[in-house]
Amino acid sequence: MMLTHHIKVAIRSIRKQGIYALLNVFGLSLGLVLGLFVILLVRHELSYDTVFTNSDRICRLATKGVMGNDIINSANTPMPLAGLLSDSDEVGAVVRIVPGANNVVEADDKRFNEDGFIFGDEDFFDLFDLPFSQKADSFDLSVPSQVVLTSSTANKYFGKDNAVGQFIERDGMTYKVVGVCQDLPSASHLRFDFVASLSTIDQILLNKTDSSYLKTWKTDWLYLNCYTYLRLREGVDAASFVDWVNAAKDELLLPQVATLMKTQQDAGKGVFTFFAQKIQTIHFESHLDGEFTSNSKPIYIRLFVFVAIFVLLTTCINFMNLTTAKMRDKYQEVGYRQLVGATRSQLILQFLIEALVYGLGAMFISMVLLELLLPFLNSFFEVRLTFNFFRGWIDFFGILVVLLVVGLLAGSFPAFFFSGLKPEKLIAGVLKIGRTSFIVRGLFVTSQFAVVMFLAVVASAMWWQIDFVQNNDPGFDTSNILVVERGHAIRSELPAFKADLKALEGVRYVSVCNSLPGDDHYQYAFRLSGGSDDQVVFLPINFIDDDYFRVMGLGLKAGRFLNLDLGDSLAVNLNEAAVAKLGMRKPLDEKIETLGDKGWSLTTVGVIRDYHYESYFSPINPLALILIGEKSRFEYVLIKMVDDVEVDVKAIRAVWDKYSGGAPFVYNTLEDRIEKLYDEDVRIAKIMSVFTFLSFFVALLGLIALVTFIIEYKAETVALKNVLGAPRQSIMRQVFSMFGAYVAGGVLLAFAPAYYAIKAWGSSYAYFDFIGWWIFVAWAIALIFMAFLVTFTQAYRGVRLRLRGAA
Amino acid sequence: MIHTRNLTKLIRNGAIETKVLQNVNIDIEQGEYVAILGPSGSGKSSLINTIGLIEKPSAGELFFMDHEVSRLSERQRSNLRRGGIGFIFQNFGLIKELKVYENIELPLQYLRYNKKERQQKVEAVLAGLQISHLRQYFPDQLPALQKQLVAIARAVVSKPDLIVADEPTGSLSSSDGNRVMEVLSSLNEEGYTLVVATHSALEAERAQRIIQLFDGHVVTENIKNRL
Repeated sequence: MMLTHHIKVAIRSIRKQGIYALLNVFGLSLGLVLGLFVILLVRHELSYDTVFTNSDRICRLATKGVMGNDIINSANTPMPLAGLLSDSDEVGAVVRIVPGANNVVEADDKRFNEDGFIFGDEDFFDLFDLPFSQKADSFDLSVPSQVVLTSSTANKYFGKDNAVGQFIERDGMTYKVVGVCQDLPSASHLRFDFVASLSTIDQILLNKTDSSYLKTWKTDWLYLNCYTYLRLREGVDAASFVDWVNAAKDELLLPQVATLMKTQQDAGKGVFTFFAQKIQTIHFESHLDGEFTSNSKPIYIRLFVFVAIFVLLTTCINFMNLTTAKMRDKYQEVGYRQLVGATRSQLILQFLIEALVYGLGAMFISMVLLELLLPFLNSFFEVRLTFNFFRGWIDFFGILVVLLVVGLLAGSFPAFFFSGLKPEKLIAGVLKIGRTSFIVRGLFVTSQFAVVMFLAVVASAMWWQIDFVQNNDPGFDTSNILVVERGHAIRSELPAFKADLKALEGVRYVSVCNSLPGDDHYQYAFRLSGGSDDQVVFLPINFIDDDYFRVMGLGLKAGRFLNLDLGDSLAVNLNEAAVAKLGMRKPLDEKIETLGDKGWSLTTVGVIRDYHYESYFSPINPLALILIGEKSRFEYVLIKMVDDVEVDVKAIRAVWDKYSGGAPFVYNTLEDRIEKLYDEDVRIAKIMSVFTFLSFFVALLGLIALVTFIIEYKAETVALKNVLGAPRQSIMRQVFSMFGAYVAGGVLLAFAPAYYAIKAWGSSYAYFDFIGWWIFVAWAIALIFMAFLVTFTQAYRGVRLRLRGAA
Repeated sequence: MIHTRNLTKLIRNGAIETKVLQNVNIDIEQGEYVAILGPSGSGKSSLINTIGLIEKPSAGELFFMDHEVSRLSERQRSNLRRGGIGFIFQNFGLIKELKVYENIELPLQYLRYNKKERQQKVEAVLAGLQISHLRQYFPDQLPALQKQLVAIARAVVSKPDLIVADEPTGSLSSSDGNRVMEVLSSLNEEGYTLVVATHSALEAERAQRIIQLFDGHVVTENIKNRL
């Protein structure tokens, strides 16, 4: 009964407040959109790898240790580990995964370049139990050449037809589709569109190499060539299980290491251990070499949660400020209500309902906005967030809880404050706001500007670093280089292909290579020929041709670049870091040799200057460049264009089509590929920038609320001063001085936290370029100036109205 | 109905203490129409607010319906006020967001009358004061006289034991003021106990008894109208 009365009064009161009600609803909506978006973002991030049954018992084993002078910290494990794990009663299922290289997949008349092709053991879908929409009766992933597609992939190749029983072609192999599973959620550290039987790899390797290599590949404990996942049985402690694994593997591994190191004593230097990572923790906690995908950092979640709480709190505070600023008219009303019989609880209810009505309006607006904006936000932030308020009951009730909390929080101050006042003061219209109240409101503004300053400075520092890593000289020339993938498609015609390309206008050099900057490189264990046995060093290797140096514009420190014409098929160029790591005093003409069955011996003919062949996240590691064998496979063709000549991609494509035997022409630029290395940080920087922008508006609203409050409660003073002849400027100055210190205080307060946040974020880079203190000063000036402008406008308007009132 | 014994009210403003009521002793019986007359600052409003249980006296005794109420808490006084005392103010004291009907209905809602009872009572009051045609208007849409009539209707709708009015004609023209005073007189004739604070001797003359205040003291008590 009273409820409808309260709702009716609330709606009429809001209508009566006009522009202030709009401002209030807008502020609340803005805060709620941001708050809801961050909640969705956090929910998405925290839901990583939770979709699988018993995902809390699914672990990935990873490898850490030392091999010679090298530190190993890898997400990969050797193939034979799975056999050891399968023997244990404590393991429910074991699955190895080997990612396939980027390659063309064909079905019927459709051909696409695919990078989501992986090979998995037979229990793959027992461990990662995604629901199947189609499944062959004879489904058995232990059989070679079987493949399961995700539903969107099946749709891409076969449309609405039944995909099971159909065939796909990849790299000369034919696979039978035996199932279609649900798409992997975006919140997973795994990425795949195809899961082929792991046993297929035997055939692939036999086609390309010999059986001894296959044996090495499958049984060598020193070859980290697959990911190993397992599901522990209930009650099994992962740590003690891994202790058992490490003890058991040493019996198998150490003799192999001893053979490699020649003495048993040295074998101790080649020890590595396995450790378990719960899959739910991988997204945040794992940053190993060879990760499936680049993972996130917990600091981002903490930052997001902080921003969400801040935004929702400040939104509520602004609401309180704006509401109470325009409450003068309400004092007497509250008093009269008390006199006609309203109890305190009834008055509290009235204020809370008014806040909830505001909240409901704002929530509705914000949900519609979020529904409309989410596709854009997903695309901008490169996430796949879903919001099902209008479809799912969990979101519906979740949002209602947020609404209730925000509404109650926002309405609590006016509710408890006004209802507790004595009626004689209220009906007399005399309400003195104490100094403490002004200070508290001022401190709210301080906190809001502190957060805006913090976000602005941190976001600027992020963009500065991103600009640094994208534009700093990495030691090679990234400009005007076109990268064509799947270069091995023209392997047999390479000389003719290069000649035809070079004949095109604007093409300067053409080269091929196995790895590009940012890729994981092959690694081999090397030592100095004739050197001591403990000088084993794992060297990343890039197989190239002799035009590579010209295309990449590498610098030479000593000796010369590799040259096939000079018979350099058994020569090597090392970078400075490799020379240092191998301990070579006079590197030129020195020989290094590989360990293991291959038994290469390579002569160092040149030392190239260090360049950032990985990313700025890691220090420059050792690198060996070796000329690619006559029949060896390579991945990329690099085409260096002449400056200022527009790339004629059509002409290049025509040459590709002439020699590639119909392989798709997939290309991009080296600059784009390098930029992709920093995608995650760019994404976070974008989020931070949007947060900064919106928080700034929220803070400005807070400021407007404070100025309105000051003007309202100083109305008599303002009017009296005017009557006594005070110029408007002096009144304005007084208003400005009442908030200026709070804004400046907030801005200064953010200096230290922002500095430490920048340092913490930058610590993930091996090469971090601190933006400098000037950005702190620049933002401080900008924010104070903007605050001044807003205050000036609002105060001018308010004072003018009061002066008119006084006149 | 109302008895005060040495009623004193102090107001503190920082270090300055002002006695707005000093040892006031008055008795108001049920059904009486009493005017409290005095110039500005004489303590009329303080006395009205104290009698109306809005303010608490600083010292002395206050009896309302034979109960000593001077030491009651705000909540207890609020309970006594609810339905027991009707208020009329110089600036009407209407809720701007509520229509005329809803303003008058408000005390009944707080007293938890059901809708039908509320409707009957409100309609009766509207008809009695001949303002039924105003029911759908908001206060801001009405002229001053009608606002005050609505305020009177709200004050009497719950049939209180006592009606207190503080300068009820202060915002009205003299003709409108006369109309309001006539309405108040008729309420008294209906049996309502009425205490009206005014600075106008002419208006006070309408009451059965005049209590004159000056500087917080009762200076004279005119009982001629009681006769």
